[in-house]
Amino acid sequence: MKVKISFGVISLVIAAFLGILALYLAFIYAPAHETMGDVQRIFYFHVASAWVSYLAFGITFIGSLFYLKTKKMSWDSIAYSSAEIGVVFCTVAIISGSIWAGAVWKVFWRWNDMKLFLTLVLWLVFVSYLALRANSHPGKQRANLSAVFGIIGFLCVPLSFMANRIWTQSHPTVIASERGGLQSPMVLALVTAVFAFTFFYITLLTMKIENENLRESMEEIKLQIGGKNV
Amino acid sequence: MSDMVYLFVAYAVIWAGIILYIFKLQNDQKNMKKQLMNLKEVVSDGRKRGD
Repeated sequence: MKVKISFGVISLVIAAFLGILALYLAFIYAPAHETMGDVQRIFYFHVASAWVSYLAFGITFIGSLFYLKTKKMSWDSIAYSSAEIGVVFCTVAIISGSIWAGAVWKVFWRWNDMKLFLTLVLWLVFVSYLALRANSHPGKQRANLSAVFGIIGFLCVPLSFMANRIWTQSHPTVIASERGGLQSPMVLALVTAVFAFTFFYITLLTMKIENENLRESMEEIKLQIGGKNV
Repeated sequence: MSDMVYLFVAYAVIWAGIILYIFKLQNDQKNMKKQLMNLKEVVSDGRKRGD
């Protein structure tokens, strides 16, 4: 327990330090974009949020697979905790992307852009995952159903990630040798922002898993009390 | 709207989202720890009464 708390605090300190450094790099060190100007600075944390949402859903996928294999509830707890954090970061990525689009495209959303559409589908899938869990009784049945949902839902991640590579889109491609076109200070700011958000993810996951453990202990005691009619 | 307004709103959304979620988790944890302590007290009281 003590190890978990101190691990969470350490990752929060690293995340905060890297977050401040990333803000400095994004606003002062990196130059303004040639065509988009200052509004392009949204990009650093928008991409970092999207990356963390993919990572979080990836951990949900792994946790779900391990749950189905081992039937250990701790894997279910990891998968669920990661899915909730993934939804938070996916929401942030969608809203910040939409604001950036409003500034550059002069419209906040383009339904014919597959990257945007598939990311929205990904978000909806995991919001449904959370709704499913919130509306079913805790136990093996819920864990089994969630695991299957988490594994199938993860299929949207590679689709969302690859969308602008498969279909010609207005959404820019970040990790591409031909079209990346980022200057090195911009790359440094982006990498720092990605690391900062990854450490925020680790902090949040630690906290959320701890909360799930507390909830589990509470459920056990409630059952105990209910069984004895205290 | 100017570019700076878009930039400000986007950063506000990003950081508010993360910070509010951290506070939510912290608050949940505090409440659950309190509830857990109360439940443990109920159990120990029950044991003392010989249930």
